[in-house]
Amino acid sequence: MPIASILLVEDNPDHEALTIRALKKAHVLNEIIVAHDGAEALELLFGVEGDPGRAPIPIPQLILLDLKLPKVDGLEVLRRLRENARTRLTPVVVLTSSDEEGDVVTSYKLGANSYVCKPVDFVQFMEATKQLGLYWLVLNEAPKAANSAAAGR
Amino acid sequence: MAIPARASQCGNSLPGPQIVSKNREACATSQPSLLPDEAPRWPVLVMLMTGCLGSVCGLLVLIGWHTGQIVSSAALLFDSVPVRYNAGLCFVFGGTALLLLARGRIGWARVAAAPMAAIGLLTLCEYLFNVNLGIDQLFFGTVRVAPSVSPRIAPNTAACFMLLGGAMLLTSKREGLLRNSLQALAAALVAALGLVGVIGYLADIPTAYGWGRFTPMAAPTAAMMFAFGLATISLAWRQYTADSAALPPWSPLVGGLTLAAGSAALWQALHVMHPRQSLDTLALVAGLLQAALLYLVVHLLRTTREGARRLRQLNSALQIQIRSVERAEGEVREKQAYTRSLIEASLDPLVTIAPDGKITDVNAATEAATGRSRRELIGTDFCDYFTEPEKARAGYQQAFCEGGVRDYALELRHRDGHLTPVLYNASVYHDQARNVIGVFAAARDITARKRTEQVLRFSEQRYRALLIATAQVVWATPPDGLVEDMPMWREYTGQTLEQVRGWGWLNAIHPDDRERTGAIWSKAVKTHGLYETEYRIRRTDGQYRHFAIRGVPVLEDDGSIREWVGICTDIHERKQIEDELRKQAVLLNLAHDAILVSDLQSKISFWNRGAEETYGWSATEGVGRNASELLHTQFPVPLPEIQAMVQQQGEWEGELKHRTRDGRTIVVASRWSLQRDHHGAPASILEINRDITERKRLEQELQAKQAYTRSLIEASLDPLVTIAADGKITDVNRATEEVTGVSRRDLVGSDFCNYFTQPEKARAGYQQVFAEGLVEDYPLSIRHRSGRVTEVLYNASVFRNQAGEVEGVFAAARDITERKQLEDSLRQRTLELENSVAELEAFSYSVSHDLRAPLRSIDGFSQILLEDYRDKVDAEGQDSLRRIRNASQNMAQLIDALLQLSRVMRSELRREPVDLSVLALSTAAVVQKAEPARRVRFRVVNGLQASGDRRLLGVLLQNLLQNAWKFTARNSEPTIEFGSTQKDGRTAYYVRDNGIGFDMTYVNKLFTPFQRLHAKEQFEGTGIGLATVQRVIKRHGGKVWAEGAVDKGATFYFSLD
Repeated sequence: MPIASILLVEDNPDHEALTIRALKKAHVLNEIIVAHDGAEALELLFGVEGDPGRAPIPIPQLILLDLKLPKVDGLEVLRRLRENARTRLTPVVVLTSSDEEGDVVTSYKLGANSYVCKPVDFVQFMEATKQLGLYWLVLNEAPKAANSAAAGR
Repeated sequence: MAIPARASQCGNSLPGPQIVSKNREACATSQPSLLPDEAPRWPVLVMLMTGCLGSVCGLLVLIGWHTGQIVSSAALLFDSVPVRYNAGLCFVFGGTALLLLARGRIGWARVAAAPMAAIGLLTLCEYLFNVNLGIDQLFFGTVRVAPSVSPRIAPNTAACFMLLGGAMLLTSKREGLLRNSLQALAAALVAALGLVGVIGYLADIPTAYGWGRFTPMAAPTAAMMFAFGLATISLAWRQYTADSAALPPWSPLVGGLTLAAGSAALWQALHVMHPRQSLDTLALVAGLLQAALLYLVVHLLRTTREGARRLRQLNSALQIQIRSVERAEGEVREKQAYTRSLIEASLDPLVTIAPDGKITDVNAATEAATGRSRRELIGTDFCDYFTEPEKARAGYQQAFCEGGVRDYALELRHRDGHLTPVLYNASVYHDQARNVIGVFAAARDITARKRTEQVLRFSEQRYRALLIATAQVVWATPPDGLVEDMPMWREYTGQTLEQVRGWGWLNAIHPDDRERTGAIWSKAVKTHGLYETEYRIRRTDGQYRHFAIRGVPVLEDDGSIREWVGICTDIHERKQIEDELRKQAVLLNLAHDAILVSDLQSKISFWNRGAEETYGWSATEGVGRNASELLHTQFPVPLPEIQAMVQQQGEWEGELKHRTRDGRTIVVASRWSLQRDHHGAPASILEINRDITERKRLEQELQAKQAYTRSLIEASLDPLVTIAADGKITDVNRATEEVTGVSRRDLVGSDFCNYFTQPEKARAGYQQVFAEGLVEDYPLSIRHRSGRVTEVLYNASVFRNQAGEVEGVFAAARDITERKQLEDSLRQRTLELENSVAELEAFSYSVSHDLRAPLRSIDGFSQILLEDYRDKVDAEGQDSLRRIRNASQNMAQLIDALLQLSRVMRSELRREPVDLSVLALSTAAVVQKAEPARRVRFRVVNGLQASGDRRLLGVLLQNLLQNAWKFTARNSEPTIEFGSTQKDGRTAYYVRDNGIGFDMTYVNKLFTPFQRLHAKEQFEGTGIGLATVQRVIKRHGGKVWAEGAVDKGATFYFSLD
């Protein structure tokens, strides 16, 4: 059984690099797919209608979602994910700079599984990422439906 | 010199002052021939034409000089010298003056004529005294243009201008024969000089136009002078008279002189030219003869015309006189006819008699009375037509003797035999010389009067019968009052003749009345006065009945009493009614109302105790007086009307004003009712009066009070209104009129709801008032008639009548348009503020996300460098990288602090009970967690309860505890306390530490953002923490302050509202 992927939705290339580095340092082996904005994330997950070349990717094991994104923002992406049966149960961790109370509450209301504020201190960030990977990819037991749906692909 | 009267004003010259006014009428209407002819047109025409000609010629000459073309055709034709510049100028002046004169502008004409006269005079002076006055070249240097021509005008021309100017200057509005004649003479001389000049040119006699060696007169000038002369004569003519038919008295003289002067000039010219020939003498003689002839002819013509004119005037005057005489005759005739018609119209037979007794004239009435025609009557004997001819004769003879007779009784005999009794009034009449020429006798037919006398006699008998019918007893006694017989009395009483005689009749009177009656009767007989009394008479059946007795003495011509007559009238029933009334009066006396009974003549017959109390007069004083006189009654309508109403309807009610005995005026409510006797005839009036003065006064006071209240209501600026249960407006004040734009008259009775933008809400409002008793601050919008809407709040409550029943709603509106507007603008401001807060939040959000992102990159990649390239970067480089990381992390903290401050400022405050002790402990734990290794002693007092926003209070404590944590870092035994104390009667919480403290000098800088009291190297910090603390406290409405000293620790106090 191939290792399921991680979908990283992040528009800032620096942060993308830092996050991937942190994940690698934490020995996360999963394939990391990057979407640079909300629209791309949705296209990757649901494909583009009428374009066979842009078929949906297999459901990732974890989605790391930034909130402030070009085109379609993170909260909207989250809402669409939770609307769709395929992705309803997929673990989504909001990984963002914002520590606004409103964003936290809205994210959880929309069905985020976790909300992590990225620390500015990179050492702390790496520590956080390491724990994330450990928790969501190793410790956490995802629902079977999500796994079977992923396996079905 | 006899000056014929001017006929310019009609009637002035006519005789007979008594008909002047009529003459004027005649002049104006029926006698157009008497009017003077219209003012002759020709003199004006001549003046106008000459004026134009002169002006044009003059202008041509002037233009000629100015342009250098001085040669004129006339000068060429007659080999003449050119017209001088000054002459041209004078032509213009003269022509203008003539035009102005023709138009009647005398003043302006003088202004034009004066320079002309002046130029002529000055030039003549130059010639006479052989001097140069400079007048010649004054206006134009002619020498420059024509050096060969002398600039000076000819002496004869100059003389002409002087004369012309003089003549024109003489023109005046006033009459003056001398001036007029001088004017005409001067003009005639000018014309003669001009004529001679013209003849000179025509007959080639240079001496006629050139005098000696002087400059000759130019040919055009000569012609012009002739024309000017004629025109000025016309002027003089017009000046003299407006009557073309009349020749001026100077006309013969002027004509003759002109001709003579012309002849003399011509003779002189010829004589100078041909001294040897006798041609000149011939011409002179012929000329003088002609002049004389002309004088004669014109004189004759003038006299003849004058005579004719006078005749005409006389004739018209005569005609007018004749007419007036005719009119006077007509008037007399009319008067006669009028008098005659009056005479004829007279119903009395009128007749005039000559001294010999013959009839000279009669009128139609006489014809009718005698049955004979006028023609038959005139000339016959006056006495023939009377039953007593001698008495008739004596009558008219008496009239002739004494000048007149009055009421002379005669009897006219008609031809058919019937007789007319007449009374004659006759008087003599005179001719103008006061001679008696006859008697004018007017008869008055007295047949009708005689008939009247007969009727009177019958009527007297009828009255007597009537008297007997109404009175029960009619009696008569001799003058001495001793009764001889009273048949009707006897009949009524049953007394015999014997019993009645003398004083016996007294026995038929009630014994109680006898003495009084006897005394009254004796007194009446003695004083010849009216006998009037009442007594009871015993009827034959033995019953005594009340009677009213009146007796009067019948006097002889000499004043002595012929007899006494009288009547006795049965008043028994009336008496009984009065008795009844009197009995009732006892009851009426119990009433407090004033009750009085008066007869139909207002004489008071009853006066109760109420009346005594009310008016102050006792019954004895009141009874017998005239009610309205006693009480000075002021009636609302005239008394006769009230009486008539009482008579018709039996009663009357109204308010009267009475004056009491002590002079007070009182108002009474009065009720009158008519009392009738047994036969239903009006007998008396019962009047019941209640004093309502006090009630009236109270009413007035009440009205005044109401008026005062009303004025307060009207003065109110709030629209006030009362509403009935059906929603109709019952009353409003002025403010309501103003706010609705509807008048009080239209408002009252209309539906209250009509005046609001939401009628249903208005209805609900007043219904709520009726249901609940009142409403307060009920918002409605009143709509003005013009559409303007006024926002109001209504306070309304029900009001009750005296019985305590709800009568309606009283509603007072308070205009809150302004308040509404304020509220609206406040709401608007709030909205704007909310918008800006929302924008601020969006901004903060961006800050929290976007400012951190680069910091994260800086820190991240610096760390990567430190990790992956440690071998390639030396120690200094690594230090630099660490500094970069530190700085970026500091920056991140600063951002966090700022964000926290901004959230504290804008987040909504939610108060709830908070256990500060618990909150402090949990916050301390958080603080501890950041540096788990450090040991700090926290002492928190338990159970500190407060009301506030839990989150903001968390932020507050976090900042204070972190602060304390930070500044106790160097203390070996750091202690942080949290507790509460009482300051100024309020609970103050405090966080106390034993850290480095601070200098109280800078205490006011503690809470300012970014102000730090310590170097960054010593203690890290953003400088925002205490600013955030202060913000949180301010949001709670509390106070925050600090105490401390350097190295002695610090205490931060705060209170929450």
